[in-house]
Amino acid sequence: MAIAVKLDFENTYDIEPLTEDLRVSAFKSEVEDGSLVDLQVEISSQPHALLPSVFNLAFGPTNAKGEIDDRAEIAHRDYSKVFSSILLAGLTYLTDRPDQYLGIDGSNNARAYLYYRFLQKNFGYLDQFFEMYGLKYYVRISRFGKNQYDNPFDFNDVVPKIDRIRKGMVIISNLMYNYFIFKLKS
Amino acid sequence: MTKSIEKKIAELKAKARRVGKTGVKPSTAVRNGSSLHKIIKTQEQANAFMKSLRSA
Repeated sequence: MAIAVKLDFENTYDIEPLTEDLRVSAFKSEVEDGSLVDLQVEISSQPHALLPSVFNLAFGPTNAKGEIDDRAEIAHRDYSKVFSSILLAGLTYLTDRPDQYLGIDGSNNARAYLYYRFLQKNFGYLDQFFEMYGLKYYVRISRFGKNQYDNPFDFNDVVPKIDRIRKGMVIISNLMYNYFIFKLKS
Repeated sequence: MTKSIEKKIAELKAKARRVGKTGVKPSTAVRNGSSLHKIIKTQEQANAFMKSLRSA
């Protein structure tokens, strides 16, 4: 995947909303062999399990069942235009819902790191439109006891920690955020 | 926000109004939401995680 992504909401693909509330939209991206692939952008109608105002935004090609495959690897011809289109769809949605947040999952550590690079590289541009946050999850360690070393972690007790992302913040790859959150800048 | 971006947003909203309610079913990726749902869920996964920590 390309690293040199330059986000520009004036240079996007033609986005087609698929629902009136702008939760689902689609556009066609040109891939390296010259063909077109349909990409769908979809915002969850249910908030995040631990963050009541955060709604997940997923994107990718759809499978035969019409479901987004957010792990698909596609060689896009213009990554800048793809990511600008995805974020423009999110920005449009947020303009009617300034109290909501949109969350984008990295789906794996490598991809999360890449998204963070995109975000930092385009920080000045994105900062005009969004407040941006990174989220990590922390798991409770249970009280000491005889079973401590079997499994001291209580995975039913997970706390989200959110940091405001600032320009130039350096995070090493294996400590990367799990999730990136966007709010319309007031 | 520039006038041209405001115009693009307004056009997108106008297109959406014309679409109406189509009842598109949410995708699995959206329903699953964040990676919170992809982390350890079962005792077996927790044990495997602990084993990997001890051997690290």
